Amino acid sequence: MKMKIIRDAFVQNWSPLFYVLSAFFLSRLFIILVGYFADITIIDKKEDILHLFCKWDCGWYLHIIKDGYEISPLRHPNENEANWAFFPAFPLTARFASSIFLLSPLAASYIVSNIFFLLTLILFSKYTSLTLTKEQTIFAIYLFAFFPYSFYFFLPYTEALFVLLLTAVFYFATTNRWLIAGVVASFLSATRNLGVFIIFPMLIIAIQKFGFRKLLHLEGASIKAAFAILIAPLGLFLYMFFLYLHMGDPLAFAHVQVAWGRTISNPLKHLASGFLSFRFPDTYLASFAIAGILCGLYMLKIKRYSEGIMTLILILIPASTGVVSLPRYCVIIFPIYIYLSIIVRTNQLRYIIIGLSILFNSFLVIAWVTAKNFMT
Amino acid sequence: MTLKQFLIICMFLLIAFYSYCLYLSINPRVGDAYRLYYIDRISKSPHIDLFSYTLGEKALTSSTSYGSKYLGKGWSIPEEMCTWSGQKNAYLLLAIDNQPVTDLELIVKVQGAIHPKHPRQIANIYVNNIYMEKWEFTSDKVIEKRLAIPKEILTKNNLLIITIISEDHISPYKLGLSDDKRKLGICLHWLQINSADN
Repeated sequence: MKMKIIRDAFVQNWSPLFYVLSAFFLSRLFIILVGYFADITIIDKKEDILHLFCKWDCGWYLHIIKDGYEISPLRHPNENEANWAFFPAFPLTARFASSIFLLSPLAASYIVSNIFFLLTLILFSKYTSLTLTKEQTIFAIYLFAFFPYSFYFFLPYTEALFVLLLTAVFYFATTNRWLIAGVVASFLSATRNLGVFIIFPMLIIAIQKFGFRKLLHLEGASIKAAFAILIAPLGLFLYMFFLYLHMGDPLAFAHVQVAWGRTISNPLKHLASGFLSFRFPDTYLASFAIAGILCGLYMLKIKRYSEGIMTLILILIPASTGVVSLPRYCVIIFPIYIYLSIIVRTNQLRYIIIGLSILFNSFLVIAWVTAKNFMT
Repeated sequence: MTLKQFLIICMFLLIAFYSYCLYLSINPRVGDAYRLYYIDRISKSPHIDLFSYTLGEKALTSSTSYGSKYLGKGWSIPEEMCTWSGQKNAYLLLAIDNQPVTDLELIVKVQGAIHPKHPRQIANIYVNNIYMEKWEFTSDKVIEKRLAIPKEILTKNNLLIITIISEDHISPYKLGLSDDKRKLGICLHWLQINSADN
């Protein structure tokens, strides 16, 4: 009873910033402590925290931050992989931070990632408060910070920047600040190849707000929405233009995927064969994506079309090349946290979900720092 | 100028820039090796020096010979005597190191995947995407095939892309011979390209 009174008092007099800051700092502390624990007990290497978490693609980003983009694929032993696959927005911001604050590229990339995630939580709390209750918003914030695989927002990876820009586009478009949404969306399309698909949810939001006919005729304020949608792919096209000037192929970021053995085919086939293989890690990886797809379909059912479509896009397009890394692609889909906040109605269940998320995330952080293959 | 007019001008400029980038995407400024590996995805390496060929050289394509470097996508792992095409399309990639002054002739020793249950095998041969002729196999003996290649169809970098499209490739598994599920077309023992006047 006493606990309920205290909790209700917190919720009634809530300050979103308090919850955002507590979720942010607690989740960072949790990741560092678990990583450190794994380092001293399992790895026994006593690496510093920055190098401890710098695994897999982290090396590619550091390479871009330090030396820029390659002209030919000479760095890899097979001489076929090249850093063109990695989009420039994140390495550019890290490089900028590194030169402004005189930090090492690795330290700068951690700092920018975590600042991006803090800003994400702030924007996310604003966005969710538009449609969710206070309790749902608080749960969504904590879920975002502690969800399995959320440690990616701590790493020198594109996840934190991508999710910040994604959330910002939804927030600014929903609140009719279309010009800002468009500029942010153009950065999103320079962050990852999936970023350009933001035009679809933007289009849905614009049609919901102005109607198709008004948007097509650029009547009234709808011209700002049309401009925002049109400027959204600018980041991608600027990167393509840069690649053409730099090494001759504007689509090098897509063409180089062959070096990693990635070819595009039916995503549903990949998911079905992965899931039904009943073999680790394929079944495990595919089940994350299938859960995400169900979430996207639910968002469509409750008429949150823009979020539902973006969820499906962010899962099905990566799944078209296989099931590898799918949980990492799912963690950036913020509508998943909104979905869970909507369907979970009791506080007991919320505590249980947060607790299980923390537990699961602990195993994942350990698997990450010990470089388990299924974490790529 | 009103905001609406300004935005419309910007939108036209964006469309023009996007169109230009798409045009550049269709016409990339890349070499043959890059195109074959990353764009066409028919070579096994992005380095053209790996398939550099001197006219007259007899290139054996067995597991112990260097000639397998000319095999692009569509070939199985080289075996003791020859290498089987394991997909419908199999590619041979040769960058001729001197500018040929006459037409060329390709000579190959090959055998088809022939069995009493599969008595006939057809392979259509293309050179640099131009249809050349049909090779028909009716016995499992190793035979010699010759193909005239006009020098005009070589690319400016003297590249030869020989595509072998097997019409009725079949797996030993389907014939009930073994567990091998590869769909076999022809088995290439060696190849040689000469100047036609030799």
